[in-house]
Amino acid sequence: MPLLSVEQVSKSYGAGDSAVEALRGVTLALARGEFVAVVGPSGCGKSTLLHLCGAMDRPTAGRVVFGGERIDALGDDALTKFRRERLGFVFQFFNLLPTLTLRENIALPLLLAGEPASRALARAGEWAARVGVAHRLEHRPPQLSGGEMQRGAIARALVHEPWLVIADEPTGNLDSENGARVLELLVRLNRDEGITLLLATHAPDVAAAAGRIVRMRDGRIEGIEHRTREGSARAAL
Amino acid sequence: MPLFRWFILRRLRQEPVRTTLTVAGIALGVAVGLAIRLANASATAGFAASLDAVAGRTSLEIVGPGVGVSEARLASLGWLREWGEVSPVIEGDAVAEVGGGRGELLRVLGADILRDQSLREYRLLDLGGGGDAEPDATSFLRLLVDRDAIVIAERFAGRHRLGIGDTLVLRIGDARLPFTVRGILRHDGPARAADGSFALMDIAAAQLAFGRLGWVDRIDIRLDDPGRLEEAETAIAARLPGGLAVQRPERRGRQVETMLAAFQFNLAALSWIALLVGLFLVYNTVSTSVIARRAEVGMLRALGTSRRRVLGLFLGEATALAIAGSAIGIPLGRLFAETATALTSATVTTLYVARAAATPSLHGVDVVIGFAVGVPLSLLAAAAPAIEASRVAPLDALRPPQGGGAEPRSRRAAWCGIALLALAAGASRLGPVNGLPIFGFGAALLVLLGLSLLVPAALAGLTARLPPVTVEARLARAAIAAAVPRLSISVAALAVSLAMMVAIAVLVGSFRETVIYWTHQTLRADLFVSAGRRSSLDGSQGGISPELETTIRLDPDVAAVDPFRALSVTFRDRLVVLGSGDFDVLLEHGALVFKAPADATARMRRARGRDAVVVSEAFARRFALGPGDHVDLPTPEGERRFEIAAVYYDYSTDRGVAVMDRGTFARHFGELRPASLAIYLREGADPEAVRERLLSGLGGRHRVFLRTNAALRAEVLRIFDATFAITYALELVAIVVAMLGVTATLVTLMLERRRELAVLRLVGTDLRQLRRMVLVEAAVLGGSGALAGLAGGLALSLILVYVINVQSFGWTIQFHVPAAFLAQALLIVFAATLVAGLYPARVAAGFMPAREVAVE
Repeated sequence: MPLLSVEQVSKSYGAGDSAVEALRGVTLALARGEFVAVVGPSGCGKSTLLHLCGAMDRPTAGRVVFGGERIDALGDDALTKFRRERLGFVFQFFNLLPTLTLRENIALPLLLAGEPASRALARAGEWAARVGVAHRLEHRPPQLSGGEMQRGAIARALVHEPWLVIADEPTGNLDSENGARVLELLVRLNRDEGITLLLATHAPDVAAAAGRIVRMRDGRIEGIEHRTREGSARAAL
Repeated sequence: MPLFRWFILRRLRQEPVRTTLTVAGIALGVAVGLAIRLANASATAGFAASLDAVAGRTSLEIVGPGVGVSEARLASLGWLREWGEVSPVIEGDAVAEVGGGRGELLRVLGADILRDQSLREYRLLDLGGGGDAEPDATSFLRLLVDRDAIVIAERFAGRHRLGIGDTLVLRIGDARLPFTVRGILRHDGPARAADGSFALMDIAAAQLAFGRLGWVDRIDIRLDDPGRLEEAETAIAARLPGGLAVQRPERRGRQVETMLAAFQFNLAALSWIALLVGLFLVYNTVSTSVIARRAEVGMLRALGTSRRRVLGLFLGEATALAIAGSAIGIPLGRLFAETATALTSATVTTLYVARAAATPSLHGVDVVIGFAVGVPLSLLAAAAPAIEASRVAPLDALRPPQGGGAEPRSRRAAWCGIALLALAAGASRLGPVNGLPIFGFGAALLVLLGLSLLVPAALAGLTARLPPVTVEARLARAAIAAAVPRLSISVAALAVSLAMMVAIAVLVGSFRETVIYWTHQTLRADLFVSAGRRSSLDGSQGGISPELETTIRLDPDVAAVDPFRALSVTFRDRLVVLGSGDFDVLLEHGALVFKAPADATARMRRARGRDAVVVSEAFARRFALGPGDHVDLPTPEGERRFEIAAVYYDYSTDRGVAVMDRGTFARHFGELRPASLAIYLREGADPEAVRERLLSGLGGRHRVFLRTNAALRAEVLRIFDATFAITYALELVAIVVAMLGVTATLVTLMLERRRELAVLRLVGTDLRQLRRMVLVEAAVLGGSGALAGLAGGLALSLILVYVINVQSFGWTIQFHVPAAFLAQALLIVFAATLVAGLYPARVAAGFMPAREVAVE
């Protein structure tokens, strides 16, 4: 059974003549431990697909099944709980809260789930070490570099051990060196820790690191390219 | 101008909540200030207009000290006719028994109609339909020839459906007197006084009714040549015998204005507090808009907009808000004025001067004032952020906003705040200006400003100490810490309004405790009798008739009676109360609490039979006099010198009271009807039973207020509470405005943080957690505002009790903090800020997470 399956999903925004069809009958399945990259030009529906997979939004038609459970019709509370427990997010613009320290930012999903602060903050420290920002734990995001912020964001996405990490252009706002290091980190986590990764990107080298590349255009899947694990690892390095 | 429309007005429309809250804040501030202005103006204007209407063509009047002019002297004043027409009159207030039990205050003029028609214009309503005209003297005289004849004004007759031949019962002093309506005056001349609450009698009938046989209140003079007013005034003054004075009728109006000045000044000063709080809102709104639109301003500058233009844009925003706020506030002020008038007129009537409560009207000048206060002050409030906007460089469009600099700034503000507080301490030591505590209010304003400047440091300190027990608290703490400079503005506004509330509560609480203590000390008698009006200080308006006094003295249970007589006299150009009491009875029952000197009782005992007075604290303070000093008080025989034997505490009036022994008083002023009697009963007598017995003995011809000791004390407190009701109403509005500020700030904060909030939602914050976070933020803001308000309020209350009160009213008040009331009030405010946080919480919950994060 796939971890996540999207079946004949459509999504349109607005109504009547001004309605925009962002997704038109997309079907896609993700297995546990897989690394899937979604590529395509701006406006092709990448982000919308990620939002639906990430329980941030509901489809206009079709089904989204996650771990055997349909999530396309859940209410807001259930979706929130679902995101909190099963999903991790990494964004292009990092989206760390500027008012919290990096440690607090990383610990946030655990704190929100009601974990005691001491445990949550300690776990945040461990994860910071794993992504290489342990020396920056007590700093606030504006004091960090872009690469450090994104690695912190990855730690936040993983601290609660989600089933799936969704990354929307995670290297889009970084220079090439930092972009490469972040990509390397993601690949390592996928390979060594078996974390399932769904990633949207414009960059061919980032997509090349994935086990499977989904090409989209005009709200439809244009093609799917399977790659070997070895190949993906090599491409990343 | 199109730039203003696109850049400013469109934005104001796009953020209706913030715009509405700000406009509402200004509107309430302007409305309250204007309402008090109108109420104050109506208090004096109503009096002045009535005075004017009754004065008619009178250009000068001869008055005696309090008691008027003895008829015996009229013959020797025949020379006054060399200057023009002369008419002696009686003028007084009566309560007309109309419209159920309440009655209506009626201004009664008693005049010799043959002489008076050349001074005042009377037009009788001809009910026969032959057209009305000035009646000829003899037919008019015929109307008033009977002792019970009365002519009333058209409006009054209309209000109470009175016609010719109807009976009208007037209560004058303790007597109920039936009159027959003989004529109705058209709404013209004196009949316009007090909205038609005017009646005319023959002078002889009026003397009888007011117990003034042998006296007239004054002599009105109409000069043959009004151009020679100055000359006439000087010449008449030079020729008048001792004890009489000549003055222009307006003088009485001016004296009333002076008497009310301190009361009204304090009210006015209080009323603008709400506007001050509203200005914080303007500052907040404009600075928010500057911060939020820094990049846009940079872009405008890059496209060639001048600094001055940018400054103009943001000042224009403040102007637009102020114009809208004032435009709403002005008619709202008219509405509030009704309430304010109702609340203040009771005080003015009880404590100062009787008048009909006129509905205040809105004049062009009030509209101008509304805008002239609202708009420039809003511009002032917006100046700092607007100047900041004009300094934005074109490159700022590209750079992210700089977050730093908050800490040193809040420290610098704190030092400025401390400096202002020191300045306030200095200002509070300066004396009054023209009897008004200008420096006292200056000091109060400095305390409020200093308090505002200390708020950022306090907020930062408090936030840092907030324990992060829950994730919501941690998030809220971080959010507040990052926005201290911005949030401080709303917290300061809340703190300022609360400080005022705390200070006023302490003042009123202290005052109340003092009055309770004082009434326990001084109201020793078992029964109190007063005539007619509730608590008149003016014995010349009727009083207690001799037969009633005799009846009471003869009652077997009555041990002693202390009649209190009182006159309004002019001393050093101010109206003071000259009273007479029985020093023996006062001393025996210890009914005075002395302030000075130490041996006051012995001095008062020695003062019996001599020309000596005891004066109230307000009198001593106002004229800077003390025991052993001498005062020249007006008597019918001219000014006489009295020694001040002692100064006693008195909280019944701030007009200043000088009391002499009844024997001394009678020697100078003759036997006058007492305004009230204090009755001491024999041991073991039941006051309630005696009261019943005395009341039943009165019959239908008299009507007095006969109160037991407990009832009078309750009445004193009732009047006290009614007096201060308006201050609470004013405070309430200021607090409401501050709440609007808290809500507006929180909403703005949510709008600015929508991206952050979306991230929070994405990483799994549910709506309950989000709501709790916003509520914790509101609680921290409300809590720090309440604490700062409490601290500032206590500082302010010291100024109110020891400076402003003393300089305005001359009272010593024991400092007393009404702790339970304050705790309750602050808790309510705190709870209200939580409620104020509900709306921003809803705004925060309404964001769609996916869209906020996706769109950059």
